[in-house]
Amino acid sequence: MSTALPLVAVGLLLLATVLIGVYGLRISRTTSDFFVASRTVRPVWNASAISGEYLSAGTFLGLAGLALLAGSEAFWFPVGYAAGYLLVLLFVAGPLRRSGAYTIPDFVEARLDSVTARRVTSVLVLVIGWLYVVPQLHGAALVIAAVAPVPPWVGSVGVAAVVCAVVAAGGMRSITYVQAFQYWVKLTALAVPVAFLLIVLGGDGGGLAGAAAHDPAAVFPHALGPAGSDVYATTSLLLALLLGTIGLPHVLVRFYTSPDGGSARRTTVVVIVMISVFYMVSSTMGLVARVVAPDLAEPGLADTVVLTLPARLVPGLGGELLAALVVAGAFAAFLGTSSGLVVALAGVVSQDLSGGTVRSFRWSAVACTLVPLAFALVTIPQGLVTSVGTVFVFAASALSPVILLGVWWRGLTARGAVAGMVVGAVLCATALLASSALVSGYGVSPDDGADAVPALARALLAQPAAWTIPLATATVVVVSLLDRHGPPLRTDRFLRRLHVPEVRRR
Amino acid sequence: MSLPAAGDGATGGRAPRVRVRSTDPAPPGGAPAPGDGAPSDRAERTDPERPGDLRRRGRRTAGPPDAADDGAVYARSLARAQLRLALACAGTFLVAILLLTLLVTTTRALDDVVLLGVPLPWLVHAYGYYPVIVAFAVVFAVAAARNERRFRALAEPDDPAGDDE
Repeated sequence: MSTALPLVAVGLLLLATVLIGVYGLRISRTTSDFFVASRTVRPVWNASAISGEYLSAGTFLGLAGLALLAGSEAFWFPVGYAAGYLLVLLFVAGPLRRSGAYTIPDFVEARLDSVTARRVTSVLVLVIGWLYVVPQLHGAALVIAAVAPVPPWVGSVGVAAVVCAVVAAGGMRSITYVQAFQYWVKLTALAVPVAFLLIVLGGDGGGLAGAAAHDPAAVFPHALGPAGSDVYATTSLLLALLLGTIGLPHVLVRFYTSPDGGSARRTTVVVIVMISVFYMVSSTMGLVARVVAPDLAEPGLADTVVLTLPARLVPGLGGELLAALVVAGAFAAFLGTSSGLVVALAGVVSQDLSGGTVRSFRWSAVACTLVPLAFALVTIPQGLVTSVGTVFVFAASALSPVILLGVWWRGLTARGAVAGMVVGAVLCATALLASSALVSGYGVSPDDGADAVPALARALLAQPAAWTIPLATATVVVVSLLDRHGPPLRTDRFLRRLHVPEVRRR
Repeated sequence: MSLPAAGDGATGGRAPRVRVRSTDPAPPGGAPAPGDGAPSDRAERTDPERPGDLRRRGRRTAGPPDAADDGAVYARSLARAQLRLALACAGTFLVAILLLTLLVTTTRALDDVVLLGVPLPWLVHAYGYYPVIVAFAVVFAVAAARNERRFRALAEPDDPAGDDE
C-alpha cells in the first residue's frame, strides 16, 4: 500500500473536522452552547451525531478483526451495542431528557440531593470515559503504523491533539456537527469498500458465493458459529453490553440536545436504525475477512484486516483509493468517539471543580485528553472490540443500576447509591484486573488452554457482569431500605418531572 | 419557556384542573445552571402569591382530595404505565432474541443451508438481530407517546390539542 494516499485522506478528514469545528465555534457563544449545544440541534443531525459518537474504533476495525480470530461470537458485540441503545430508549431516554441535568453527576445530585453521591459519580464517569478513549488512541496508533513508516505513537498523539483542539475551541455545538459529519464518513468508508469487495468476490452467485476455493463449512465452521459461543460468557457479556450503554458518559449528555422527552425518544429510534445499518456493514467486513484473509488471523494483526482487504481484492489505483477511504473512516471513528467523550468528561470536571465556566471547560478538555493519552502510550493494545466491551462491563456494574433505580424507584437514597456504585466498581475492577493477570487470550471467553485457573473461575473473572450487576443492584436496594434518612423529601416531585410530558411542545 | 399562567382558566368547575397543571413542574426551557442540583419547584413556591389561592387552600383543608392529588395520581399512574411498557418490551425482546439464538444454535441442519456463500446461522448472527431491535424500538416509541397522550387527556381535559397555550 502506498503511503501518500491514506495520509492525504486523513489530512482531508482532519481539515474538514477543523473547518466544521471552526464553523461551530462561530455559532457557539454561550456556556450552554458549550455544554449542550443550546438544545437547538435538529433531530437528524442529532441522531447522526449520537451515532457518530457511538461508533468507535471497536466496531470499525475491531469487529472484523475479532470475527477473523474468534468467529461469529464477534457479532455479539455490535448486537449488544445496538440492543444497549434499545434499553436506553426503553428506560432512560425520555426521563433523563426531562431531568434537565447536563451530565450523569448532575442527574445523580439532583435526584438524591447529595454532593457526596455526585462526587462518587463524577469519579466513575471519569474512569469510564478515560478507559473508553484509550482504545480509540490505540486504534489510531495501529492504523498509522500500518499505513505509514512512522512510529505508532504519532497516531495517538495526533488524534489526541485534534480532539483537544476541536473540543476546547468549539464545545458541544461544534462537536455535534463534527460528529454528525463523521457518522456519514464512517458509514461511507465501510459501505463503499464492502460494495466493491462483494462485487469482486460475488461472481455469478452474488455475495460471497463466487469466492475462489471457498468452502463455506471450512471458512465458517460450526464450532466458531453461533453454536460455539460459551453460554455463561455470552450471557454475561450481553447483559453488560445491554445495560452498559445506559452508564456511558457521552451517551446521556446527548439527550439534552433534544428539545423534549418525546423528541429524545424519536431521536433514539433513529440512532438505533443508524447504528444497526453501520453494524451490518461492519459485520459484512468480518465475513469477507474470513473468506479472503485467513492469514491475518493473529492477535495484534487482525484488527488491521479492514485496511488490508480493499488492496487485496481490488487491483491498482482503485484498491488504493478504497484503502485510503477506509483509513479516513477509521480516523473519523477515533475522532468522533474521543471528542464526544472528552466533551462529556470536560463538562463533568469543569462543573465539579470550577462552576462550569467556558474557560474551565477548555482546560478540563485538555486534561481529559492528556490522561488517556498517557495511559495509551504506556499500555499495549489488546483487541479493540474487547477493550471497548470491557468499558461497558464496568459502566454496567458501577453506574447503570443507580441510574435505572434513580429513574424508576422512589426509594433510592444517596447512601444506597454511593454504596452500590462503590461495590459495583470495586467488584468489577477487581475481577477484570484479576482476569487480565491470570488469563490471556481474546474474544468473549478467553481461553489460553492453561489449566492453572479453573475454567469456571476464568469465565467468572473475564465476564463478571452476570454477578457484579446483581450484587451492585442488591447493594443499592438494601442500603437504601436500611437508610434511616430515607429518600430525599422532593423525590416525588422530581420523579414526576421525569415522567410527566412537557407542558408545551413545539 | 414559562410556567403555565397561574390563573388561566381558574374559573368555575375548572379550578381543580388548574392545580393539576400548576404543580406539574414545567421543565425549564433554559437549562438549570450547571451544578444546580435542585430542580426548583417554582409552581409550589409561587403558589401563596397567587390570586385565588386562598380559595384553593380552603378547599385543601376542607377534606375532599383536591386536584393536586389528582395530578399526582395521574402522574404516578403514567410513570407506572411507562415502566410496565418498558419492562414488557424488554421482556419480550429478551425472549425474542433468546428464541432466535436457540433456533440457530440448536438446529444443526441450518448449517447446511448456505446463502450467498455463508451458512445461515452465521448470516442470522451477523444481520438477524438488528431488525428485531429496530422493531422493538419503534413499537416502544409509539406506545410510550400514546401513554403520554392519554395522560394529557386526563390531566388537561380542557385542552384538546394537549397544548397548553
